[in-house]
Amino acid sequence: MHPATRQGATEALGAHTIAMAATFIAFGVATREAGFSLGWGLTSSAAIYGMAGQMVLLGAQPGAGTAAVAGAIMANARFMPMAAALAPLVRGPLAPFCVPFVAITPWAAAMRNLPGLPAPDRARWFLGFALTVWTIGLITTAIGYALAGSLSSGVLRLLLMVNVFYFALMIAAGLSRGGPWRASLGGALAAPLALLLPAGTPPAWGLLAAALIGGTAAFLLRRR
Amino acid sequence: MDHGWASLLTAALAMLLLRATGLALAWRLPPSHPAIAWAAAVSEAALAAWVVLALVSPGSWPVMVRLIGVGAGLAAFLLSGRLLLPGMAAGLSALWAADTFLRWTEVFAP
Repeated sequence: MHPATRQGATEALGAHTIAMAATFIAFGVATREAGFSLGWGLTSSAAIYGMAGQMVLLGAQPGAGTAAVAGAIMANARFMPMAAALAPLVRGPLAPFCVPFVAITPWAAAMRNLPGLPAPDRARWFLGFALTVWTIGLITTAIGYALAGSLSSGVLRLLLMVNVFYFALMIAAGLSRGGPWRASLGGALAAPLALLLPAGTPPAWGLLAAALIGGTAAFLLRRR
Repeated sequence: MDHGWASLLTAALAMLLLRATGLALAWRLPPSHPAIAWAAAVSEAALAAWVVLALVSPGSWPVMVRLIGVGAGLAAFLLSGRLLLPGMAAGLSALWAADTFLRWTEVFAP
C-alpha cells in the first residue's frame, strides 16, 4: 500500500470512525424498524453515502418514489459543490476513483488535510481515508441492523447527536488553523432562515438556501 | 418493498451524477479560480448551517441540553490541545448529564 494511502487510512481511525459508526448504527436500526432488508440498507449506505438523503429514502411512503428520489437529491445536493471544491486537490489519474466517496466526513477531513500534503499524494490519501470510513459505514449499518430492538431509545438519541458534535468540533478545528471562517460564520448565521420557510417545505430546501446565501455572502466578502 | 429498491437505485445513480458533475465542472479550473472558491464557501456554509440547525431545530433533545453539550465539547476540545476525541466525549457526557438533570428537576418540581 502506498504510504499516503496508509496515512489516510490511519488518520480515518479515531474520532472520524466513532462519528461515522454512531450515525450508521442508528441508520441500520432505523432501516430494520422501517421494514427494509439488510441488503437495502447496505446498498443505501454504499451508494447514496450521505445520511440526509438516506433518511429521506428511508422515510418515503409506498407509491411516492419520485418524490423520495427528488427529496434525496435535494438533501444531498451539496455533493456537487463539495466535489467541485475537492477537484483541484485530487486532480490526476486517481480522481475518478474519488467520485463515489465525496461525502461530508471524508470531504471535511480532506479540505483540512490535503493542502498540507504534496500534490501527488493527495488523491491517494483521500482514497485511503475515504475507503476506510466507507467500509466502517457498511459494517456499522449491518451492526445497527442486527442490534435493532435491543438498543434503548436513550442510546439511539445519543448516537444521533455524535455526528453533530463531531462536525461542530471539525469546524472549530478548521477555524483554529485559520480555516474558512467567513463561510462557516455565513452558514451559521444563515441557518435560522431555514426555520422561517413555510410549513411543509422540505428541510433540505432550508439547508440548501442557508448554504447558498451564507456561502455566497462569505465568498463576496472575501472578494472585496 | 419493491418501491424502495427502485427509488434507492435511481437515487444512487443521481448521487453519482451529482458528485461526478461537480468534479467534471471543476476539472480544468485552477484551485484559485473564483468558481472553486465559491463552491468551497457554499460547501463550508452548508456544513456550518447543518450543525446549527441540528442544534436549534426541534428534536429529541431539548435545545438547551444540546447547547450545553456542544459548549462542553468545544471547551474540552480547546483545553485538550484541540483533540477531537476528548471534545466528543465531554460533549456527549455533558449532553447526557444535562438531560438527566433536567428530567430529575421535572420529576421533583412542585
